[in-house]
Amino acid sequence: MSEGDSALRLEALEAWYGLARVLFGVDLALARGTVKVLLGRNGAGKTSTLKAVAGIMPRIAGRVLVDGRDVAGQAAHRIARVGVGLVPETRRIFRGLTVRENLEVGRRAASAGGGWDEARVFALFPALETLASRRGGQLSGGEQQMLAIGRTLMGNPWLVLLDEPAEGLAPLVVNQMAEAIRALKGAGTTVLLAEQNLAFAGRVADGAAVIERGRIVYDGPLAGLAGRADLAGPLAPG
Amino acid sequence: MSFIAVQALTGLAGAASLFLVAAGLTIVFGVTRIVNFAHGSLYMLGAYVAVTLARDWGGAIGFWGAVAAAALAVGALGALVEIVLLRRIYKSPELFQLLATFGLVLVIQDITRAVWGAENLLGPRAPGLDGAFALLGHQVPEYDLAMIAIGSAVLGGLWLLFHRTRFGVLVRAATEDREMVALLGVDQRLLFTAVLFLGAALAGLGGALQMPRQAASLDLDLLIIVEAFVVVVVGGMGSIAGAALAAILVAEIHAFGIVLVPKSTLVLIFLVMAATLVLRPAGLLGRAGAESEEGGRAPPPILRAAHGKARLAWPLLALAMAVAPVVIGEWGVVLATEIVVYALLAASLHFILWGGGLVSFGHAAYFGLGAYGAALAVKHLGAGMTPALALAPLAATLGAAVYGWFAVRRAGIYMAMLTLAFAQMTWSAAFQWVRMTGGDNGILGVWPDAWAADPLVFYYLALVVCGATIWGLQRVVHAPFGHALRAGRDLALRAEALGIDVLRVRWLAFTLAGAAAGVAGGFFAFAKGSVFPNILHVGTSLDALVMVLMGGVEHLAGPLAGALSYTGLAAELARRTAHWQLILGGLVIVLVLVLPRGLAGLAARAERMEGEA
Repeated sequence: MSEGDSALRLEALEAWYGLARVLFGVDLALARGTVKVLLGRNGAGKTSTLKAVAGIMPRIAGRVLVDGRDVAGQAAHRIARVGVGLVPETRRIFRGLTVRENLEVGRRAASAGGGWDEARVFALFPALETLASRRGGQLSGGEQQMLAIGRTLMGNPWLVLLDEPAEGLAPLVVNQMAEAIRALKGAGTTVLLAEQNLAFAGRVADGAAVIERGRIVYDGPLAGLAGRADLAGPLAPG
Repeated sequence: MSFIAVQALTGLAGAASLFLVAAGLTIVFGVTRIVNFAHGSLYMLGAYVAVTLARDWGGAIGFWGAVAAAALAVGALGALVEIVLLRRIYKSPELFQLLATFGLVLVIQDITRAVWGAENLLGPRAPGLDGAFALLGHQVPEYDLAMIAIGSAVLGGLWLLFHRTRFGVLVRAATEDREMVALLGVDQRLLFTAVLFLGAALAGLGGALQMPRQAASLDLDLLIIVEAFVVVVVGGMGSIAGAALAAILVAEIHAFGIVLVPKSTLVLIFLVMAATLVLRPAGLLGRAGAESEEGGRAPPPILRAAHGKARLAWPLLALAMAVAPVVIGEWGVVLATEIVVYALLAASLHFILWGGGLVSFGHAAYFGLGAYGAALAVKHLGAGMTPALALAPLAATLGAAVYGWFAVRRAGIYMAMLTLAFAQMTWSAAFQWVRMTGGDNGILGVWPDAWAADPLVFYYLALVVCGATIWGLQRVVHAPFGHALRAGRDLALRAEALGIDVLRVRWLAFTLAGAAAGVAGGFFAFAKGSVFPNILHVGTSLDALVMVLMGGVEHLAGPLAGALSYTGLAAELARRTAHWQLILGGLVIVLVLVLPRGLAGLAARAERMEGEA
């Protein structure tokens, strides 16, 4: 795969929190329009990888090629404007703002956008429409997760970084998340999904990478993980 | 009954201006997390600019044109301040942010004095609103009604802005989580500059609107900022409705207090603030937890860890001070006495700042209470020097115990605002209570007893007592009490879990520091032979802070070195230029800009470079 074909390509990505180094040369590539799952146990470096791409790690080194352009070291809002949207693990809903206002913060017309607006977000997550004037702080975990994804989609990103969207949610809501990810893929959006749950990953991902102690230890098809006992340890079978 | 209604109306008119200023302060804080001490200076500038415009161009733009133009001009200045200064210090420690904006206060005040002179400036009255109308048999100025209308209109306008516009929604979002807003593609720099424009324009508008009610003067900046601090503490930081509510409360207390119990309005306001802090620590409409300690992480150190050299420097400095009189002349001995006194003042502040992480912007209060305690003992009780010197720390301890009990309840910037407000209240009390303190004329004739009348003898007396107090503070830092204090500073929750009563430890430390500052104050009174209210002024507090930071190490040798260099520098500056405020303020700003993470950051960077090389 040449650089031009990749929606996202990480080369020798390193990252630090203060003096503590958390990424030790991550190499990873995502083809356009695919869903790749980044698997790993707690503290392996999944979230740090996503944060490094989005531009909110305190210190990084290496290259982050988004659509062939190196965005490493750029301000977070610039990376977002290139078309990268991060849905953080903690969701970071604006608690004092209503659902509608939360979506408004994310609204941004993008030239190559997928045509996302409030109506389409409500169509994807009908529950949000009935809660439109409720404050973010009063939503349940599942509702907050829907809002976090919807809010990011309002910016019309073509590369979405999802950090454990199914974590701690009821099975019914997990199904909705899986459907949402498939809908994204159907619309041509590229998705990098950080996940611990192999079963959930299996329902949505085209390919998988496994990260361990800040290094990529596997990169290939999901099916290839089945026979790898050495990698089974970090992963919950779900 | 009619009297009450009229007085309430007067209060509401006063509340309008106060609300504008406090709302601006709270909006800017919400987004930038910086408490802008210079916000009052913007108010003052609004008053000066409006008076000038109305006087010189009043024919062309009219009274209201001058008010609007002044607000816009001050707003533009606020935006400039954001671009040039604030933008560079968003990641600095709180203390440095406060210091930088305080440097700005000094700079703006000196420039204002240079441009407009020291005389008060009276503005014109509003055309068509310069009369009074009769209400229930009392005369009410028409302009008061205009103020109330404008204040209400701004409150409504702000609500619409924050709830009905994209800009307002973005500002509210950024107040909650700046990074998430950036992750959604919003350029924060534009947002921040716009917010500073808005906040500054509100302050400027508040100042400009006061033109017919109050002359523009150079002390407006600190008068209004202290009131605004009281308003945001009572109303809840970050809440515009809370600012409105608290502004009305404070202004009504002024309106009624001044009639019912003249000269005690300050006491009433102090009581309201105290009651709020005890009953609703987050303020009337504030949300609890808005100031939560950052994820259990220790705040970055402000001072550099002292290495062996600093420990060695301490006895060397003491020795140098002991033999200094041999080298320096009589004037030198007087200056050296001052340095010793300031060293203790700085050391006492250093003790709570470093040991407890308690940012006091009002340490002058305890220094001044000590000085006044000694001077009042001489003047009213006919006490000799020794009992007067003993009384000094007692007065300071009492003040520190009362103020500290409230101040330690709120961490960080809230504490800075509270301590400043308390100190300014003490200052105005000394200023207004003329029968007791002589007011502006101060208390004269506070001379040492005959046996210590020789400056050299008094110098050694001060050196021994102040030196011993500094040494005692150093011992306390390394005693179990000091360990508890530092544990509470670094990780308050964990310290609590270990069974340390963090609030109590902080309160005791604060009181102890106040007592030590009081010792210094007593000696200061006798060294000068007099006491004036300006010893209580925030300028003295800032002096002490700069000394601590110039010393720059986590060791009591730091303040000693800081006092030495700073007192020398200030003496030189005062001798050579009338613009020492401008230079000092500029110096503070440059220091913060060049060393955004403080001296400790510089040291850390040097060590990392060494490590990587």
